[in-house]
Amino acid sequence: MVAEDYDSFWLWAGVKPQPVLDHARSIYILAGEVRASDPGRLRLLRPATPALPIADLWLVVRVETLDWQPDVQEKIMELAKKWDRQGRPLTGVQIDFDSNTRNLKNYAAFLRAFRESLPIRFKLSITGLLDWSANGDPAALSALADIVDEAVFQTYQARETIAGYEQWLERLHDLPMPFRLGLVQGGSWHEPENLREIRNFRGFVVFLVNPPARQAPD
Amino acid sequence: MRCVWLFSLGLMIWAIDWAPATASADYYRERTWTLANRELTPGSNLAVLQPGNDTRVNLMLLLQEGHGGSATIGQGHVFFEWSELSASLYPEQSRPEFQGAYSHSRCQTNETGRDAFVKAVSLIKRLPETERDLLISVRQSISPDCEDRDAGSEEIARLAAIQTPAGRDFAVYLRSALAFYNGDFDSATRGFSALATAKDDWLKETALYMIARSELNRSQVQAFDNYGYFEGPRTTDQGAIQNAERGFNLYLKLYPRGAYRQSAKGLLRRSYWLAGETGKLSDEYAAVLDNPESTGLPLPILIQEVDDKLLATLARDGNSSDPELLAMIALYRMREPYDPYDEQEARPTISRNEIEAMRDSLAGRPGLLEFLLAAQAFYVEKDAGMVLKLIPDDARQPHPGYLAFSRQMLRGQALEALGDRNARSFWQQLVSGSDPLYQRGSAELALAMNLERNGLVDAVFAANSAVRTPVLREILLQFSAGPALLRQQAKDRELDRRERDLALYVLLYRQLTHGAYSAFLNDLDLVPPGANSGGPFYNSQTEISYGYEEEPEPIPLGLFTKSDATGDFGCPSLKQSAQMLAANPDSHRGLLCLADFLRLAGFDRYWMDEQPEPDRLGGGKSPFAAPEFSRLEAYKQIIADQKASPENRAYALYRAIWCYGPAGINSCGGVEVDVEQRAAWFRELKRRYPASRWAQKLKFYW
Repeated sequence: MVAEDYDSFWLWAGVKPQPVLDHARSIYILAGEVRASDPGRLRLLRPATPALPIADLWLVVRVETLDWQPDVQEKIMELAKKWDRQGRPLTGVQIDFDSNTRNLKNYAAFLRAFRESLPIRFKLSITGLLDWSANGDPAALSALADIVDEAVFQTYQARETIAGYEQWLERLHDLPMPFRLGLVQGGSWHEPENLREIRNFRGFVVFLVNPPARQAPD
Repeated sequence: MRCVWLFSLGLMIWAIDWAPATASADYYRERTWTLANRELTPGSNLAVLQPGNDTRVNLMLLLQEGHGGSATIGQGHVFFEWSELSASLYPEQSRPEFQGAYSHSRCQTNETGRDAFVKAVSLIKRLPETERDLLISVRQSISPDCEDRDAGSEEIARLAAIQTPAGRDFAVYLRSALAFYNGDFDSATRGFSALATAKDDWLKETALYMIARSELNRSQVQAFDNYGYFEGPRTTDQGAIQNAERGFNLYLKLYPRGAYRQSAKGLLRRSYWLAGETGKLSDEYAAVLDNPESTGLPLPILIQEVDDKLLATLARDGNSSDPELLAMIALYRMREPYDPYDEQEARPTISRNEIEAMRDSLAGRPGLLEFLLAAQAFYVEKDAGMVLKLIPDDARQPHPGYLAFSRQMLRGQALEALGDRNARSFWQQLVSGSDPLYQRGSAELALAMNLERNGLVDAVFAANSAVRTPVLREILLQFSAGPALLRQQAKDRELDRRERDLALYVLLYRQLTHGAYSAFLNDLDLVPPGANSGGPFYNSQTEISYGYEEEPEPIPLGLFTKSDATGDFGCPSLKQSAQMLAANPDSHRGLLCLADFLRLAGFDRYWMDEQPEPDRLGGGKSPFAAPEFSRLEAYKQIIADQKASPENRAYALYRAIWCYGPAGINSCGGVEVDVEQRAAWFRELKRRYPASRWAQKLKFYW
């Protein structure tokens, strides 16, 4: 697949901006992360505040653990307000956390508290794993749907599209929240036939990657 | 060097249930219990200088001759992450201290600057109190955020009331400082420059320093794009950088003990980096690495700076004569070449001649040259014999420093590669002299691998065994210990409770899944009453090589003795199912109920069923004879038996089909069958047993 065929993108730390971003409809930019080994700290990953002339701007925080200290949530809110001032309003905040499917209820509770401190004008998005759609407890998924404005389900692992993803996509019909599908730039992707008929389907987000090195590691 | 996981929004669907419950799957790492680490992979840092270590770890180890460390953090660890090493060697100091709201921008000095300004103003002689108060009040009312270009404009206008020459100088300073924070560097530089002839000493010194800072910041104005991405040193204004360099150097010359000395030195390093002056930068780092206190930065932070700002260019240009920096680069270049941004031709792996050329520079560290030559021979040329020529045997001596220890570890690895029979005693000597923090873990890993490879696993668990690190023993219990050894450990009251419990758990699980039903039943008596009975045990200590510490999970021996019946097939307790199978190993009901136990307890695709890779600890052949129990094979066996009872056969068909649900991926082990076979089973279930519960329940096949 080719990134130029899509209109929404993730721009990660260390990934050089590509021309395709100039005409994007929405851009999810990684702002910082909370590491499991250091849950008291929001590590900023972008030296300057983005200022997008046209696209919807989302502020993404990559999260390895939900055991935050209260400081961290405050810092995220401050950062969101800072990004909101750059000539174009911030559309929302996205939390990128790979919750274990068994723990979706806890994750929903966490997000509820987060949503309450997030200013109303910012939407809340989360990334999701395909396993949730197949094996997630429906009550937990509904709880998530009540809290988030969208979930973006990732069809890739590292830089590769997951083998056998078509079977997981079958279960997307039952997802209770508006969702998008996350693709990886250059990954293999064949759009399933009835995808666009699913009522809650909202389009794609492409994870941009730097051109691969000539001798990449495993 | 940053790990590749920067890019991964990774996830692992199929194995995801085995990651610890609160953790994200993003940094779930497979085992890496091997010594020879050439490539940087997560969990490959050892207290041995090697190419596969993080470059920061190597540099830290090289700088640590004989420094102790906090054993509590590193206790019992073999592998470690960079953050753990720095926290353990420098417990109070691994984090940058300043964590304020503007710690990433020039506004980080707004508050300390304000305090210094207020203090200086209060010390001015013969200044009217009204002006003094006005200056202080204006300064305290300004709070720039380095984003808003007009911050404080109203407050600053009040300074128009200042009349006296001394007061006006401070007013100029204040206006310039505000301009600086607001990003108007032209005004700031001009304003500070005008204060070169000010009477007040504080003003003169501070203004000189601020000119350089202003120029430094001015140089970067065009270097960030719309996306907040820093486009690199090449996009900075080189004229402004040169001004900044001159300014900082002048400041350091005029004020050798000045208040801003450390800051100026740090910003001068930044200027060299932005100017691409690698030679000057690496000389500067060489000087301060010998004397980190002079920078005001703790060593781990300084090493991080070196890694961020110098590594990439130094790896390309090799422009240094500092032994530790050269060694760090040399080890880095022993990996397969890799340029993540595809911007330049990555240099090929380092050659013997290139290391020889470092001879003079390395003279200050005896043994380092030979070590690098030997490492190059071992990792790149695959010439283990050369290692033995370069590094004599010194295993009997204790080696508090990491270089000396690394030399001996490399020699030991060469002995192993050559199949030398003396390798074992070599390792034993090295273990006994090793430092308990990390060194011992590496040496014990080497010894444990040797014993395992030579069929001497029992010796690891003998009373006088030198292999005492718990995680290494656990790996061997899980994958290399046979039933007799496991039973011996399970019964040994002298042992740590955890090791005893783990041995029993493994013994019971292996026997149950390898057809040793009578032995299983006998050993079931060893389970203490009231034993914990959570889900199947996941050993985060052996399966994840590093990362944040978790409370070790209690070992759920009670899983095997819980007596409630399980599942909707009406199976009895596990004990009774095992009794059926002990009497008749082909008992259909026994097989179906054993399968239901494993399925319902959560043992499908159990991590312990996968033997580690052959080059890892525990990677030898499993001491339990194949075949291992597979639900799919058990169902196939029953399906194939035309004399099987309808109830059992219908259930077997149902369960066999479900092995492939809900996504067409088999979770029952055994030999795969294709989808036509599953379809055939489905049709047979519906056609032959239409009245059975199972036929009625099943809507799909996969």
